[in-house]
Amino acid sequence: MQVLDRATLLAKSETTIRLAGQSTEAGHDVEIRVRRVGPYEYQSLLPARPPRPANATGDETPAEMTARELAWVESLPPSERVSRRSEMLEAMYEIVARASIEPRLSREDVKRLGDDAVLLFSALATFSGFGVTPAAQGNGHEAVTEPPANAG
Amino acid sequence: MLADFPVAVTLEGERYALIARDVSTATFFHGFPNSLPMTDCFRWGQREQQERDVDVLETWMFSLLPRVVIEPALTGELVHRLGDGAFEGVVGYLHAVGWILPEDLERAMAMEGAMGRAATQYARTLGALADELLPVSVATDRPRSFRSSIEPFVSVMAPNIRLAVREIAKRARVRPSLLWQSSISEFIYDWRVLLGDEIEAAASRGVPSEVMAAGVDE
Repeated sequence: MQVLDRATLLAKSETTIRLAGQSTEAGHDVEIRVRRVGPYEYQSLLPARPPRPANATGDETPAEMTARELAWVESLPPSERVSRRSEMLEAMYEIVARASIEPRLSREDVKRLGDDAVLLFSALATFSGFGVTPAAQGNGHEAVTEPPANAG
Repeated sequence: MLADFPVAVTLEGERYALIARDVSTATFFHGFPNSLPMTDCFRWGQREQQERDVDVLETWMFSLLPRVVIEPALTGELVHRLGDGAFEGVVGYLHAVGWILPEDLERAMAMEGAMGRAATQYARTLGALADELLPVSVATDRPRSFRSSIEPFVSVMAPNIRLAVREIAKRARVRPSLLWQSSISEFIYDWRVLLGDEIEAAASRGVPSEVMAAGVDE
């Protein structure tokens, strides 16, 4: 078994993503190089998870957990839902900024990408091995941190 | 106690080895939560404390690899780049030093999510790892930081860890500071030999394991 070296780790944990909107505006392909993010790295930026029920057994599947959390979010007062949605969006911008390599983006730079920011996040999540539903991209629903169906 | 050993991680479908070291008990437990899920102490706690302990545990797991892997030198970002491979590496290390027993590994494999996948992937690797030649001693003369070299020895210990150190030191008649400096595999071995049977026997009588580890008679 080959010992992992830094150069191999860097090479195998980076990819290039085309920004559709930016490319259309520019008239040529505009791409960004990003690194893989860890699921825990993203989760640590998210707002606090809904409290687990007192009778929780610990056997909840990820799908059951997601359904419970979505139901809890829907039960929040409108102002809290808006606040939570805002926090989710900020987490998305932050994780994309952290993942950016070339060009290196700040969180504000990511916001200026507009719709490309959402598509970039989705592609990054897929590359990083955790699936994100379209519902999780900014409308306040929780991200699904499960691997895509074809993950190894 | 253990020579430097390989820990497998899967990256983009390919298997690689990280070279890990049997670090000091202090280094291993740096940042460790006071209670672990599924322990009596955890169940006794308030929900907010439970959630804090889970957060602390997850942070500890991802901070472990940079402390115990000597080749390549890992940073927090590099650990994140490993993706699920990071979990696999943590499981592999914990199994190698004796923290995870075979029955614990089976239980972990049955879990949903990243931990279950990591444990399953590690179990697949186990056979291949057993035949790997151990690396020759790896020189680690890279600069060390205060955080990695000093903090583990002077930071506040989780109360349950302090109790375990005190109890083992008392029974082994050694200074706690020597235990704290000994390798983690030695500490775990001492724990199992000196406390393991009593904790199991107490558990079968319904005495919480943390109470036994504190040396409090039921």
